[in-house]
Amino acid sequence: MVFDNVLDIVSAERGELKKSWFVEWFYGTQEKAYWTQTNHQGSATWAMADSINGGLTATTASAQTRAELNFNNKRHYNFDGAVAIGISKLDVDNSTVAIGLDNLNFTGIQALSAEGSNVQPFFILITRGAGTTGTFTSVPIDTNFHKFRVKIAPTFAELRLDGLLEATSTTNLPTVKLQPFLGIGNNVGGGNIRTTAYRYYEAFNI
Amino acid sequence: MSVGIGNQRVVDRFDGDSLDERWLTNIGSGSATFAMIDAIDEGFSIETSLGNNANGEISFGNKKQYDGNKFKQVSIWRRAQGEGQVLVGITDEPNGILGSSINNQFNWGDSFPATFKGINFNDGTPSGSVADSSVPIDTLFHRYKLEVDVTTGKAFIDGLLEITVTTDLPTGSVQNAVFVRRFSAGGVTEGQIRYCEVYNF
Repeated sequence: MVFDNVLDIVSAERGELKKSWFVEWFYGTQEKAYWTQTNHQGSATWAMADSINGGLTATTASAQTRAELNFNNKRHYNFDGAVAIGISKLDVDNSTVAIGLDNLNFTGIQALSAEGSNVQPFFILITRGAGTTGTFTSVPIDTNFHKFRVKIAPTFAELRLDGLLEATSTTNLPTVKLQPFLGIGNNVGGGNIRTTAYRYYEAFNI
Repeated sequence: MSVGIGNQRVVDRFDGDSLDERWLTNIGSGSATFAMIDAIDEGFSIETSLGNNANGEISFGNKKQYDGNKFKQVSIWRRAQGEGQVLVGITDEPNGILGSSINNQFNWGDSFPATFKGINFNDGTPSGSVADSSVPIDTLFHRYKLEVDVTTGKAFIDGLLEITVTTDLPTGSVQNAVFVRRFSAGGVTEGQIRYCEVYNF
């Protein structure tokens, strides 16, 4: 089958009224200006890597840090029907990498994310609604790039890691509209800087 | 599955904290506002001020990389409010003002108080043409498509061919544009767009 435009390729049928759908490849000299850098604790520097498949990197200061890229609360995504996909990797130790959808810039509680943290043994699905639920996958953390796909539906959230369904949660699901985010943490500080990397992000409503 | 990707093409999903920097905003009259919307599936907003003929538009800053008689455009947008019009298409007007009677242009429009959605098209001579579809104007999102070659202009809505014209077709190089205008009555007019793709074929 031959398609003559991108919209037809990603639509279920010709003429479909496609909902919000965002794709980011992280290339060029710097991330696009429509991303907002938010520092919640300490500060991080975001820079395009000069390396093959390197994507965008986030580097913390040497103190404890929590920072993210987001859309400055321009929230186009459903809390009960959306998908976010990211390819990212952790640093060697004491760092956190997160990809997903959130509200109120990370500290605002409501979120759906895939996270890897060196203080946890496995990659984890996080749902933040009235409270926070973490659901472990069976995949041990490492410093390789992985493909994370989180989905939120009316009654559950799930995480697929490298194509396999690894975690499902039915508690503390977000209840407000959401925006894309990429997160980094320096969990300990102590004079060590930490760098995480992100080379793809996509989100769409379903 | 394949797609012809050799020619000039742009895809914009109108997401992020602000309008992508490839677009240039322009205010033809009044004091329009431009903003990414904080609401599910509503994309980017152009809202006019009050005043007769107040308008605002976005375009590619007169960088005309599209072929007026060999292009296609797919877009998803709506006239969200107001007794004015929203036009989306191509033009050689430097600021992206659509609907003029002297420029090469081809665009879909939802214009209050017309009965039906329609197209404006012009080959650059001082005339200009219009043609109505069978789809009533409304304030809902629709998927619009324009397809123009040297002999025929076609306009689709939600996947269905609504209008075919064979005269007064644009020629030469053109740019992408979204245009919102208030007429003389009602409150402000607002257009919202969440997808736009233009390409030469």
